[in-house]
Amino acid sequence: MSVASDIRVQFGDAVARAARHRKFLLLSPVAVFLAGFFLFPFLSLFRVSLAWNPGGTGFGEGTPFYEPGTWTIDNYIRFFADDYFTGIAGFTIELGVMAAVITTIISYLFAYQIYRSGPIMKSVLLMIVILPKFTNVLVLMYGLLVVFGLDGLLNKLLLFVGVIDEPLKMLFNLFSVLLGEVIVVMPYCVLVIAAVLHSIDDSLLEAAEGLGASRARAFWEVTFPMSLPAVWASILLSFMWGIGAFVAPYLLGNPDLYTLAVEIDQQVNWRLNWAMGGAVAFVLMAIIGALMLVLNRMQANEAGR
Amino acid sequence: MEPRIRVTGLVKRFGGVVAVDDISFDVGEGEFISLLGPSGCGKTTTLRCIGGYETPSGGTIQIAGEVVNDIPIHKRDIGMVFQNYALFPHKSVKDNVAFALKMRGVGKTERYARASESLELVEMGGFEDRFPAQLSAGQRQRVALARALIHHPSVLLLDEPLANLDRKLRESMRVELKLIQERIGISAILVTHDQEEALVTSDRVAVMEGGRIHQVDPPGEIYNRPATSFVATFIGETNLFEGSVVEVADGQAVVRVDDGFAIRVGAADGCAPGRDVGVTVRPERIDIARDMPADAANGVEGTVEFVTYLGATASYRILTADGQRIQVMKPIVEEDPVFREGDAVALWWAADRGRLIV
Repeated sequence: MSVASDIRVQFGDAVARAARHRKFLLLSPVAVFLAGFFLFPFLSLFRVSLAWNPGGTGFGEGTPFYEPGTWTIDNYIRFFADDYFTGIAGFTIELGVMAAVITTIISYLFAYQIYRSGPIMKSVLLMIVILPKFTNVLVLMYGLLVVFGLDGLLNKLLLFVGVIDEPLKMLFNLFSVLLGEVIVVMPYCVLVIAAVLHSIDDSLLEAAEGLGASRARAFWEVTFPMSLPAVWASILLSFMWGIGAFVAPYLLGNPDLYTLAVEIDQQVNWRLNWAMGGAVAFVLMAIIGALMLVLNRMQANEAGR
Repeated sequence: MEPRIRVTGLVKRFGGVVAVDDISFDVGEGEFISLLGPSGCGKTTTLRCIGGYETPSGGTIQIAGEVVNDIPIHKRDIGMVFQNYALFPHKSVKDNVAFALKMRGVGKTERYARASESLELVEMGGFEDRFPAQLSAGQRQRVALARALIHHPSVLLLDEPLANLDRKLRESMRVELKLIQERIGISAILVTHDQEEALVTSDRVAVMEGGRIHQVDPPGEIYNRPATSFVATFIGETNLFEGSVVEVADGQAVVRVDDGFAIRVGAADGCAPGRDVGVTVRPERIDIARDMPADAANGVEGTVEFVTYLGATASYRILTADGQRIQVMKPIVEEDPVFREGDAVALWWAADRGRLIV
């Protein structure tokens, strides 16, 4: 027996094992990154959320944001016992649902228009969808302030045309918050839905019409059911976006329209209560996780029907 | 009697391109017609105009006597089978087949019962609850046919329905297609580029090229009496000789082929001495032997240049003394082809074996 084959016999197992693991090698940069910058802070924050809050200011000795080494679930109990927090949680879910429904309807209409348009109109419409993504979210929101303010472009236009006698209050209410949410997430939803619509074979619609379906009927019998996966994707996407909303409620809303994300900021940066902020963060995450499961289940039922 | 379909002077232009150039034909009650031609000849466009998928640029289309040019697709009462079958992937087989009935407001119980009947017709009973993705190409083809027939449309439109099947299946399906069409007595228009398919299925074949119809006739006529040299060469194999008429007498014409020898052939309308014409002679209608018989109407001598062995038949390419190449096909009765490359042979055929194309 040669030396080479001897070595192979001895180390064969180890080599085979290494080869098995090698296929995951490509993931290692991401794994390291996620472990260092996501998993570790994530677990740390979870630990903080289970610490006692001394009510400190964080300035000077003996006034930490949380009491290291202590264990308590008071922060979570407080969340569910206090109407203040449950109210915000309820509104956050409401906002997510509203954003999901409105975004998906608007996106579907827009995507359908893209799908039915000729090549030139198609590029123009796609450009319109993607354009807002070229700018920063904050700039976009301040842009909305300029357009929708009491002294904004839209009010000036409406006054000029004579539709209204005095400026409409369109900012710092539910309308502006939803507007901010929809504008941010809509491009993704439009692209997803348009992609799926374009993948539907034209001959299916021709077949439906040949068999006696009007254009509208063919849409409901063929196009819409075949685009349902994209509708679900859009709902999921805009719902998750809406429920994690921070910028729009903060800049375009008022304290009655603050979401859990804004509340986390309040706790951490203004009340300096990291423990409570951590607890709110984890409750928000649990809500998102649970609702995603529900949506997934609904979609699976729909698909299996 | 009023024909089921009447196409009159149909023209279809796409931008500056004329896809269909002034064609007219009728489809009788229960008749099976095929539109045959190479790709780009306008056959599919013609079918799509009849179905309503394209708007004609000129001419009229009548279904059962009524001009349908302005009637939308879904009110035309057609049954269409697409090349890719176009089954709805999200609907079960029975919902696919029952679709036309659903659109016509037929209740669930009745439409599923009729879907099952329609599936029986194409021998797909028992597949009601499958989905298209679970079927083979041949099965999808049958389901597409059942779906197109369930509402007893006035006409069945078939757009290359067998093109995606493999050869064996295609050959058996074309016979079956014909049998089903005959059994229910529906008028049908088949678009195909496969001449065998057209000859097997059709009562009449319309041979198309460049947006025009060259000839509409039963398969036998098309093969035996091609109207143009395009038809003669497109359908089957043929020897096409080009030359000019030297004399016409006793219902026969003598044509001098450009390179030398003369062919005696049955006269046709409009063949006068001096006129440039073509003569087509099918390879299997030419006799071949070592010696020329004394009474041959047309005879040429030459040598065997190439032999193609095809199992049941042998095809010989003969090079004549004056440089013509003539294709001859003979059945192989014993094991080997009778003639070999290099053999000196005589070819002859009677005057009525050839066909004059004016």
